[in-house]
Amino acid sequence: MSVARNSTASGGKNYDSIMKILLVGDSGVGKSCLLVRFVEDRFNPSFITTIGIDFKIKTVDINGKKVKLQLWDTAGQERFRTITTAYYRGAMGIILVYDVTDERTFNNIRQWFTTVTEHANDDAQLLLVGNKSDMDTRVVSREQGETLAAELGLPFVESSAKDDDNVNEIFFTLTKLIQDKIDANTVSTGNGKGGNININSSSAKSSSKSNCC
Amino acid sequence: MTKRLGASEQHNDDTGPAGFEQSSVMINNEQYKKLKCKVIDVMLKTKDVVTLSMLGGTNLGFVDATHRRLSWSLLLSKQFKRDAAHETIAEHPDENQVKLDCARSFGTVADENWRTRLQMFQETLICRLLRRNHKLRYYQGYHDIVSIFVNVFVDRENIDSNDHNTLLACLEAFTLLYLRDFMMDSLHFAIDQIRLIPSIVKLQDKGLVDTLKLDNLEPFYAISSILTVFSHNFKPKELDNSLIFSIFDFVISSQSMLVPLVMYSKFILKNKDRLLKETNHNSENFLNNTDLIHAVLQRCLSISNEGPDPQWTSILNETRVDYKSGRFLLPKLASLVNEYSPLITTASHSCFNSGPRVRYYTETVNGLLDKAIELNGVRKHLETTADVDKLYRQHSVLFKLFPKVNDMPLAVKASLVLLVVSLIYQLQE
Repeated sequence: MSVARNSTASGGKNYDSIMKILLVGDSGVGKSCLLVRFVEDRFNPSFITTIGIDFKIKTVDINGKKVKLQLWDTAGQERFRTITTAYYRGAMGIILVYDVTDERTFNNIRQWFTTVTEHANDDAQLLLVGNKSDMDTRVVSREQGETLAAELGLPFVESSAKDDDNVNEIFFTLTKLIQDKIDANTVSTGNGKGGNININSSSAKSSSKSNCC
Repeated sequence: MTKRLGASEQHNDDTGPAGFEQSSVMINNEQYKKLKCKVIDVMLKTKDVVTLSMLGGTNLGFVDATHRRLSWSLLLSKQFKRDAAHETIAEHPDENQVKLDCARSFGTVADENWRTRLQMFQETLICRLLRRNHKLRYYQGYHDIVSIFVNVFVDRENIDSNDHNTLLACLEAFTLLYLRDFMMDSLHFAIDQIRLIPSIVKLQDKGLVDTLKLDNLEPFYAISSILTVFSHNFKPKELDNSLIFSIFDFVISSQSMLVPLVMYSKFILKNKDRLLKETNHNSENFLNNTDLIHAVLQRCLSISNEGPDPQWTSILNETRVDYKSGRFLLPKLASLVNEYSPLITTASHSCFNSGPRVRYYTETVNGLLDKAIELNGVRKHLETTADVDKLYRQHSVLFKLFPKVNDMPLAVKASLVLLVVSLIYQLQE
């Protein structure tokens, strides 16, 4: 699999490894909101549309190791897929997001799954997210989400970027699964020793933010 | 701030007016604006489109919303004449996407109630335009461009008016003359446009392109800037003085969609040292060059929230100077973009004196649109630049030899394509 890169002594780096993670899903499901909640701990319902692809960084503390997450946010409109799929290469984690208040976005997850499996590395870790769980207008039940996730063989999280519910869990669960794969991989670069990840919000909140690439 | 009338256009918006007359009288910023507004008023009254378009390409563009809406209206009406509009109530297939994007527009407007009204106005406007032009396809980012027009034409006094026909006419002219490449059912013509950026950079600094290997990666880093004419990057914060309005003033005045491409190329060239330093410093942090260059450029593009951005003000001014003096350095566009592209038809001016301005009529523009849609059907199945180059060369030759090719039966067309392909092949041999 694509392995997390070890940092080297050169360049004065402030992390131990790097993971590339992508968010995909239909337009308006809240990909950017999830990302902004996770990276900057804020929420804006009229957050700007993603045109093409955007990049953010967050360094998290995992079992005493600093893991730098490269987070790539993608445009949801179908025609941007020509562009966004160019960034699938090397992604170690891909988050497929739908909106629990919009059945169409849920039904399109299968198409996203196909696109991801076509373009991403075979061993990229996927995760299914049903966002906007705070809304009263829900039309996709948690059970439907769990059933689809089981069918596709993906872990599943329901979240609310608005209420900051389960947002950190999305990224920390994914990071842990990637780390576990690295640990299980005999050609691991050795950066993932002691892969138990401290999945709690305090860890996430205290993690460092970086403006650097 | 004191300004020198007639000073060089290399001055930025804060330091000089980039003269529309030769003088060395020192005036302050407010005096400069007042004087320029008076000159614009005269040009509007006399319908002096040439001088008006020259003024739009100088510092502060058309100065304020009032002068801007009148100037855009006059210039765009001289560029495009629409037949009686065919209003239709048939829903456009992209209206749901429009709704989703408009709900996220005007994020910089603090008053929530006003923001909601603007969003609804914008959605209605875009849907109305799409229903009048059913062949156009909406793309995410078009709403950013529309928000600039709404900012210029709509205020609290007139938003409830039933007459926004001038705004609609301006937006329609801009969309049909400048944005056709982006309004296909795929982004392939847009990708062709952004592929020009490394070529333009290469003409001025081959070493930079070679070092960063810009030739070997898709310039997707530029897609949001070009698709939105920078309106995705520069959200207006202050109605009259925001840089984004000056950029639109210049693009409309020059009738040129080459302007955003030249500006982005200048942005890369201007950030050369930083790009080289940061790509070198971060090379081992990224799995591939596509990710590395995108991340570094996005960081360089980060816009300050405090006041006008000096880097982009300078880039805009340099582009104006190059345009006025005919110094746009461009690759040969014929095989790089489709022959119906605004870049070589309706928004193609590369210098101020590049010939008389043409007024386009509905029939001509619809013809270009139809042909572009047909060609896009072939283009979107091609991946490599070599394949695209071949298609555009063949297509160009075909149309030069047989101008009526579009009226021919499909079988005849196919035979002609084969004939031209074999001719080109033999010539290459």
